[in-house]
Amino acid sequence: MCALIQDSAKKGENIMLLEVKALTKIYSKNDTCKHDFEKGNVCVKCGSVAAVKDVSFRLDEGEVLSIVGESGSGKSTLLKILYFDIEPTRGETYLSSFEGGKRNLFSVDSKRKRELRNFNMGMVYQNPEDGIKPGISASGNVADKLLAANWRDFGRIKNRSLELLSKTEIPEQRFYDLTKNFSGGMKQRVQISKAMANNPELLLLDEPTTGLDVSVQARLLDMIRSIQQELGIATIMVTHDFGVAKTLADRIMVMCGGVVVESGLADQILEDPQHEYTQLLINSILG
Amino acid sequence: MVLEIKDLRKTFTMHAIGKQLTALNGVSFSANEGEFIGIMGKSGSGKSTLLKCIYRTCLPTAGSIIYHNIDLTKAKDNEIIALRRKEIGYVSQFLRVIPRVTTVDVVAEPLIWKGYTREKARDEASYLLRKLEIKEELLNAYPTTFSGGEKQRVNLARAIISRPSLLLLDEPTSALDAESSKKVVEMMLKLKQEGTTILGTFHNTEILKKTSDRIFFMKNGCIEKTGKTHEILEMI
Ligand SMILES: Nc1ncnc2c1ncn2[C@@H]1O[C@H](COP(=O)(O)OP(=O)(O)OP(=O)(O)O)[C@@H](O)[C@H]1O
Ligand SMILES: Nc1ncnc2c1ncn2[C@@H]1O[C@H](COP(=O)(O)OP(=O)(O)OP(=O)(O)O)[C@@H](O)[C@H]1O
Ligand SMILES: [Mg+2]
Ligand SMILES: [Mg+2]
Ligand SMILES: [Zn+2]
Repeated sequence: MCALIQDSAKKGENIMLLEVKALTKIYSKNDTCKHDFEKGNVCVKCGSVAAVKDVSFRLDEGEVLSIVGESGSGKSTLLKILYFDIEPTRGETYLSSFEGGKRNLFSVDSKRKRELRNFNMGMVYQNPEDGIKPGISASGNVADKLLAANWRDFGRIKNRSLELLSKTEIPEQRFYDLTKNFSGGMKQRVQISKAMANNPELLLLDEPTTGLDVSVQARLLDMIRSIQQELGIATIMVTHDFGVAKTLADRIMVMCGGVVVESGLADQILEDPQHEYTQLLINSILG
Repeated sequence: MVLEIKDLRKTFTMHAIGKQLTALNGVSFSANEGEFIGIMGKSGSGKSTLLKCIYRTCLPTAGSIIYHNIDLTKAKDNEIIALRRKEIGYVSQFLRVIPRVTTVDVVAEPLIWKGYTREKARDEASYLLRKLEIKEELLNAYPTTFSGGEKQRVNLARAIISRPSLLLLDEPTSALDAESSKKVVEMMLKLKQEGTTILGTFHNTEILKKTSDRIFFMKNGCIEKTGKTHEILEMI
């Protein structure tokens, strides 16, 4: 019930958290393509590829935005840019809690970027191995994130780590095992615990439930949703599963060839997709 | 019979923490030429470990894995290398790619091991990659920066290009959208028809319905249930 009240308050207010302007990432052989990509995402003059091209959107506090689109459409690249793993070729991003929302995040030094990642963001990578340290234990992985976010009280760190690991259904007797010895699904669940650990205001999820069996998938989604709602965490979630998008997302953004072709309310995109590509995508899932 | 596994066991010993963990607890089955076996089961039930023991990225603790009269648990390293190069294909659950080798070369390599000229191998590799809808401009790029689905298709192409007699697939479609999954299903069916024996873990029951003859449902390191695909799918 509490979540419901907060939900409606959140939706009434629409306080902006994140604003992304014309983000672009170009892969070119010589890094010098200055051409104007008239149509498509391959430069006709030099063959450079725009993995992400002029993507702009805003995300409100507590909102869940889902990104869908075919393989190679730029979804992961977009998340990795926002998490400072990939440097954009151009574009800006503003976070309202950072310097009054007036400073482009890409213009700050690497120390500040690290702080933003550690204090304000959480990330779940598409490949679970990218998001965890193989040589330390499951609880150590979560603690690592908490230490980076300046948690100092050992007891609290321990409690928080164990709480999250049990929520993600890691068996208790495995809490202190090295994660390199974990199965794929277990690695993924440690990654999710880690990403949620510091109560981030922005959570980035790249296919958070792939490789998990359907029952675990459903329970994990419930867990993500309940924490997300309780704490009002703004979330961007990449998925190729429309069912997942439908259960979690307020809005859906559809990407194709590095650009956003359509965006709107989640149920509306599914019920009444406007763009030819979105229709195709939805039909191919249902068909 | 292509593969006969008897009482396969795998216990991991983690010396650093003085613990042992049994991932496979007596698995037995056999597989025929051209048979497709789907493997299901909860996270941690031993699916990947089973495939890794056959590919010998894990050393079994006990039991035997007879592949065409060769016991893979006892085979010498160089025999395993030869088999991996010529007869046994494997796709890992994780979206890892070989660094510093271009897409076409990654996929062409198994054909070069088979004796193809580099040029011919690269041609065939490009053909297969195009069929899997890998974009032209990626063919000569390095896959490290590719999307998840692209990495998965590159890995799959490398595993199937030389038409292995045994194919081990660990969640090979997890990062693929419906369209590319369909392509992959078609290719698996074609290989099956040509006689390839396929063992694959899938969470997607739709794919299993289309491809597999039998399903093993694993639990706690054992095959808990086994039967025809539709029988098992009805049960769970
Ligand atoms: N060296 C390169 N040259 C050209 N294009 C490249 C290069 N490296 C990456 N790309 C392109 O950048 C894009 C990256 O896609 P991204 O990882 O964002 O896709 P995605 O939408 O997450 O897809 P998936 O669902 O498969 O994970 C791909 O289209 C890829 O082809
Ligand atoms: N190298 C290793 N060292 C120690 N334990 C391991 C190792 N690899 C796997 N295990 C353990 O063996 C068990 C089975 O793992 P496996 O990877 O086979 O599971 P799975 O069925 O493939 O699960 P998932 O669906 O999550 O991928 C797990 O408890 C795992 O932690
Ligand atoms: Mg991706
Ligand atoms: Mg596995
Ligand atoms: Zn250009």
